[in-house]
Amino acid sequence: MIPAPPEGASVLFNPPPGWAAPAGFDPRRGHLVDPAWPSAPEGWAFWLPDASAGREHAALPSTTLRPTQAEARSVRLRNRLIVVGAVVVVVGIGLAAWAGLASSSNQPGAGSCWGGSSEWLHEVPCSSAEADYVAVGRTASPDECPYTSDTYLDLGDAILCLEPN
Amino acid sequence: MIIIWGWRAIRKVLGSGRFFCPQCGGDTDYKHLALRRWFTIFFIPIIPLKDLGTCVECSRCRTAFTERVLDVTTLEVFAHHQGLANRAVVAHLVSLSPPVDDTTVGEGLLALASAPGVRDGYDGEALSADVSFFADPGAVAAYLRPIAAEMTIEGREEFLRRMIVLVARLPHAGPSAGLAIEHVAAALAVSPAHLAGIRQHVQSGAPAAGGDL
Ligand SMILES: [Zn+2]
Repeated sequence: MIPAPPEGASVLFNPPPGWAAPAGFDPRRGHLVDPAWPSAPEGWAFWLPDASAGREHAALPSTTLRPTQAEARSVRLRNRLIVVGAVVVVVGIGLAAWAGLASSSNQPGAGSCWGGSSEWLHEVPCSSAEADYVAVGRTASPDECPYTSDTYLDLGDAILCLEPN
Repeated sequence: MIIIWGWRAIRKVLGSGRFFCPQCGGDTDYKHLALRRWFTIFFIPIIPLKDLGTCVECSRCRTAFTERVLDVTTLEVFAHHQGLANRAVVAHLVSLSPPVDDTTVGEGLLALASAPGVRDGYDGEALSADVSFFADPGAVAAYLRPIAAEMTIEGREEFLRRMIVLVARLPHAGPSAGLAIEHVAAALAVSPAHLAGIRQHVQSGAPAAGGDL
């Protein structure tokens, strides 16, 4: 008899020795034990913590600012020194910068390719080795991007949804 | 000062496992994810924004599905259940045709030789142990249940054809064995008329159409 897993915990089924359980065997999904399998050793831990459970971050953040390479290097240096201050003030400045950039955006479309550093992206030919991302859609809001596109560029008047190329 | 700000989707892994990916058409690993967009400043998540819900993501093709995709068993687990169901019914029919001797066990092994999902090396000793376990009709019903919903019509027909042939070959099979076949057909959602047709097909000596997937 297999005991129920701990309530609310992320666990994986741990078959006892001698159980030829197929990959993906999980009694919680109604999978049946072969009556020929031997009894589990006394006190066997049928459920082990799922090591993959936890938090994962998106591969790349998006940003409305695309500075020159020199500026980007400078920003990266300063990023390491700056402690995030008053959130409201920062958001206000950011919004102003966004609004300013919106009027000068060049509005690339779906199918365009993007590459660059881990912090700033620029448009590159799709045949280029630098083309790490491909735009898969242009939407009004990040929430309308397909799920697989958790990276995007804000063009000011539209969102360009990106996926790994 | 240049401010770097934006959004990012943060994924929390709720669990992982193996599933049948409809996009890849095979068994592969999955992650069960909860997603939420955060407003970030200097790449640090500051404000939680829209809750994007949960999904099951294929680790191979990265397609996201709803949790209902986990209702379908993997090919490996289906084969495991197929083998168990075949063993259960064969062992039950042998138990209904006493005495359980070399002849009846031999006929049972012959029936299982062509059954999918039964491991290599399954022998008379293993079948005798199954006969004890699956003499109980309740145990047979429990081991038929997982495949009943996922087997094709052709698969059900082939499964029943195998059992009808076995009953015909067992030297001491009585009416109870024939009745047991009717219960198996009902468990597989095969109507009495359909079962009569399969019986007629077996008696006519027509060859089987194919495997019982
Ligand atoms: Zn897939």
